[in-house]
Amino acid sequence: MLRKFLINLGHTEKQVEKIVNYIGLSDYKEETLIDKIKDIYPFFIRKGFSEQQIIHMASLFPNVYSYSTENMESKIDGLISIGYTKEEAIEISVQHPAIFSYGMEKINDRIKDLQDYGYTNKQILLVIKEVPSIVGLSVEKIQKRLKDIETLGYTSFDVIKISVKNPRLFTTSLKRVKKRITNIEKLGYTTKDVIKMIKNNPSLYTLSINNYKNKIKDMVKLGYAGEDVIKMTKKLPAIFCYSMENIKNKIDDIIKIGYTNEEVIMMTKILPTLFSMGIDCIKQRFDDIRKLGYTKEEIIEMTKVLPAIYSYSIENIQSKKEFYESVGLSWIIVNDTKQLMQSVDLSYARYEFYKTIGKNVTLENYNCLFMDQKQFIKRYGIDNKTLIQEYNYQRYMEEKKNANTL
Amino acid sequence: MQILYDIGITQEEIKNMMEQIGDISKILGENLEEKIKILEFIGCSKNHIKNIVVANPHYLLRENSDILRLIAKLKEFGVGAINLLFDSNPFLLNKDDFEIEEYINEKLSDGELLEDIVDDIESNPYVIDEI
Repeated sequence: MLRKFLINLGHTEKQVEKIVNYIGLSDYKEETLIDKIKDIYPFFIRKGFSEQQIIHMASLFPNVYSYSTENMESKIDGLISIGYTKEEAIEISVQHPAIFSYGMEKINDRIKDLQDYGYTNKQILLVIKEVPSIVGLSVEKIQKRLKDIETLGYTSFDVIKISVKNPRLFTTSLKRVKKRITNIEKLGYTTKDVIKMIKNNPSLYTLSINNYKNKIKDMVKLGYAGEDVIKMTKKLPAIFCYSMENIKNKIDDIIKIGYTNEEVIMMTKILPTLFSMGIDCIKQRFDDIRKLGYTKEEIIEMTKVLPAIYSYSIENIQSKKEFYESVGLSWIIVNDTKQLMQSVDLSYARYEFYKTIGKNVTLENYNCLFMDQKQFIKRYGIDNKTLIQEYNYQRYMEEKKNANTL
Repeated sequence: MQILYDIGITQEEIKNMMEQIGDISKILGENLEEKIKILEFIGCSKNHIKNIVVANPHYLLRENSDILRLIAKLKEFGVGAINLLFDSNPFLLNKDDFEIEEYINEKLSDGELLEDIVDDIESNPYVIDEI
């Protein structure tokens, strides 16, 4: 009678077998249980559960067919009272129907445990929504799990950040977590590299190892050496999250600006951040530099050598241009662009220092502006820090600005 | 966000930064201020800070403790004028202390002198990425 009733509700034979033999239900007389289900099933429908959701919950946790509707209603209301919407409360119950067996005190206790560790309320709601079974864990288990993740090399702040993005970490064994890290290491990273990559990009934890391998393979097909891909992904781990279509499109877009494929490969190898910059931003920077008076060919030359120029603010580029032009060394900008990475503060300070000792800096000897500090100290007995305090570029620019205003 | 405008970053630049790191307003107000203060503490001028943040907005997402450990490690090895170092290569701020240590230890084990290694870093702030 009961079996037929459950089949008519929508349960499979296998589910029916589980329900009728479930501890907590097997003691009920068939008629009693049928009456209970006749009460509970419409209750769930009234609360907003679909038929499939009810079947799913009862299959996972048959005891839902034995609880009082008042009890279950109070749980749903309890979840709403702590901050979930009705739809979220339903979602949580369907995912983890055992939640109906917990008192609200248990749920509140778990919330408090996570608050004590440092989670915000928003983070806690997110975590419980993703993995409601956390509420069923004992406080000792939760604390141990959090400490376990710390032992990998994370601070509590890191643990919160990573676990909010990957709440399944709460229910994944430490052995499995370590295995995941080891598998990523085998691709060419150190443990510390992987710890850092996941810390800064927690979503990397959930990528399958095949995802990693395929991305590396696909990047090699584009023209990067395997070890270059490892270095690039250490600098910009988000590469693993970009689709190959996006990466190829970015390379093509940069080629359209005027570079060869090999040049773009080289530039992105040096500065993988180019993949995270919008092409409009890169094009805008290109136009900005053109407005400073450089030709397309000159900009291509400059940025091939120092792709970081695309990340500089235009004021930064302008101040370097203005300085080197003011001292007759504008040639450096296009023809020895790598020198532009030196802070203009230091270039100014050294130029002024040379002036005071009567040394003329020209195109023949401009490398003296970029001398190694050790050599500079040996020759002149003054270090960079003292030099820039003595010949302060910011102060000079302020004075120049005030003089222009007057 | 006002703090970014205060150091001279334009709306267009903020838009470009958000393309790289997402919604900056989600980085809590005090956290943003602390990031700026760290750079001020090591002697960065407003211009340096702007150069760094615009070029490397990922800096704003880093943990303060990681940044401070990086700075401490650089100082420990004797790297001077750290403000200029970061102005020259803003992406150095994405490194962890262990990466600096690994780089320097590798060079030391190759037989190089620490003062020469530090000199290389100060002279070519991109050298750590050129291994």
